[in-house]
Amino acid sequence: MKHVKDVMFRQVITVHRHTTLRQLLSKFAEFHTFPIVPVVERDNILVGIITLKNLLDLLKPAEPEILKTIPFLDEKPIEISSVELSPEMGHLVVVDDIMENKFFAIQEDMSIEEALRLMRLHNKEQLPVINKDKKFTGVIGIFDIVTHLFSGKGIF
Amino acid sequence: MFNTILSLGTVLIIGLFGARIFSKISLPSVTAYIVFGIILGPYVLNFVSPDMLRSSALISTIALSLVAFSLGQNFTISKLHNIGKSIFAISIGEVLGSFILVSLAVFLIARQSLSIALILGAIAPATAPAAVVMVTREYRARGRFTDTLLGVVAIDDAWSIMLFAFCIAIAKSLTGAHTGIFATIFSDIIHGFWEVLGGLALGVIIGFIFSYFLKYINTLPHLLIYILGLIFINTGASILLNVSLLLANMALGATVANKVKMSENIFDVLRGFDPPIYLLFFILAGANLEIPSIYSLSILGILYVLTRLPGEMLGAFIGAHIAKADKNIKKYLGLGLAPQAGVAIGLALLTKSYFPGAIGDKILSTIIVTTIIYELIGPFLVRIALKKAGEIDKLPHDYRKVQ
Repeated sequence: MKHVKDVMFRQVITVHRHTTLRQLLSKFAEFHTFPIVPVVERDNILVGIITLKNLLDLLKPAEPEILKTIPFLDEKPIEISSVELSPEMGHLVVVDDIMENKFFAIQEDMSIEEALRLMRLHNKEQLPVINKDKKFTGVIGIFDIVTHLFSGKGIF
Repeated sequence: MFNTILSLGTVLIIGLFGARIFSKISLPSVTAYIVFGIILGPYVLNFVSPDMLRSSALISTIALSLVAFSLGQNFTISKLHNIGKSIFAISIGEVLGSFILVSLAVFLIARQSLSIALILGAIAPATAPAAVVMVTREYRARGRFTDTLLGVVAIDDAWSIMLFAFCIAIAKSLTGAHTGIFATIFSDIIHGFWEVLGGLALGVIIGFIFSYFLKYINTLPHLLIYILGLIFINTGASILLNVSLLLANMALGATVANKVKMSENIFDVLRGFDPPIYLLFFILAGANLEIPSIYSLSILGILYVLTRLPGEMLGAFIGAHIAKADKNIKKYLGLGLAPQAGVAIGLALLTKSYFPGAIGDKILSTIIVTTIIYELIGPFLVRIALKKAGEIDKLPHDYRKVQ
């Protein structure tokens, strides 16, 4: 049985809590889509992740977390024409302000079947991978599993 | 006139676009649904089939179960820690203030039975977060007052639901709506405890079952079915065992939030399912309104409207004083709690299913009429509160200028 560590992608670009929004965006400007970005501390302990959703939240007015639990609240659509953004945000906003503290990470010795199940259940295409010491070791995505299957059959 | 499926479809589509029109004049979807419910209902257009009207109790039970489950997720250790002392104190103060004032007025001035007084008092503190949030967004209100106000409206429906569950248990004992072997005061007390504690225990047990078997769930659609199935079992078992279905579902939500890793995902999945249920629930609430009763808005309704807001303001003042909150919060926060809608109507519909006779009718007709009043004047009062607190920093966002 294959494990996550046999399939996962290891050369992942990571950021720190103090990385600024400008640094973050310029790092990923050349990618076609925004990936999940792991946030690590100096000893490579995974402390958070940043996804496209966290960037989108910057475009919405700040609201308390507790409002998310209210039923029948109208979702406020983002109005691109009236978004309040100032150039100072580039260096004033740091990763620590926008990252997701609560995230789901999987262990590198988990089977890929279980990893795939968790990704489907949590509706995620990629998840960060950690080892037993909670240190960040890579990212596994549905794409990694699929290419692994193709290469295993000699297709590429 | 309409068959059930045709009126179901009509209701969903008219509700959807009605809410869009209302959002242009800055009224929340909930208000739109209630107003369009009245228009589609038997007194105006008569587009709602009798079968659908009869299913109101079922829809409202399901909708309230989902609301209670969703509110339960606030009760995790980390979230309670984040709520903060002043929001905690103000929300408790506001809930008790309006409960006591409304109950006393209904009992002493309107000379209604103690059961009606307690139930109306327990419904009074419920606030409509949607309306409050809409106003804060529209006027781009920011600051400590706004944050405290949003925190209080987010949590006070949970307190209100708990208080309502207690009061229903007491009212059932007072009216003898339950059948016991020993019909004594002692058995009434036991019954009250059973209804409250039994509900909590049932929710916790189902919550443990939920988290244990979650490992066998592989896909999102299965997760949705699994959650709904267990919420319905929880609700149905509550009715069967004669315990509070609101507390049972709140306890289920709290247990899931505490026990399951990444439980946000579970609550998110439900959000993909519940909007049409809530739409139906509010439209049917509007359609159920006896239009003739508006003309005869009784002394009961007038007293409710006149005492609810002062009760909230007084309670919020005392709570803010205890928590040593700012002067503005003390003075004006209660005013920001004026809007009332969804949860209040849901609780009134639920009361009717417990007391199908005169008590239920009296409470439902009072609440629907007073809700319309509070939902219409509420947003203006929220605006005044924000303005007095000095947290409206910009002119209202005018959508016409954007085009």
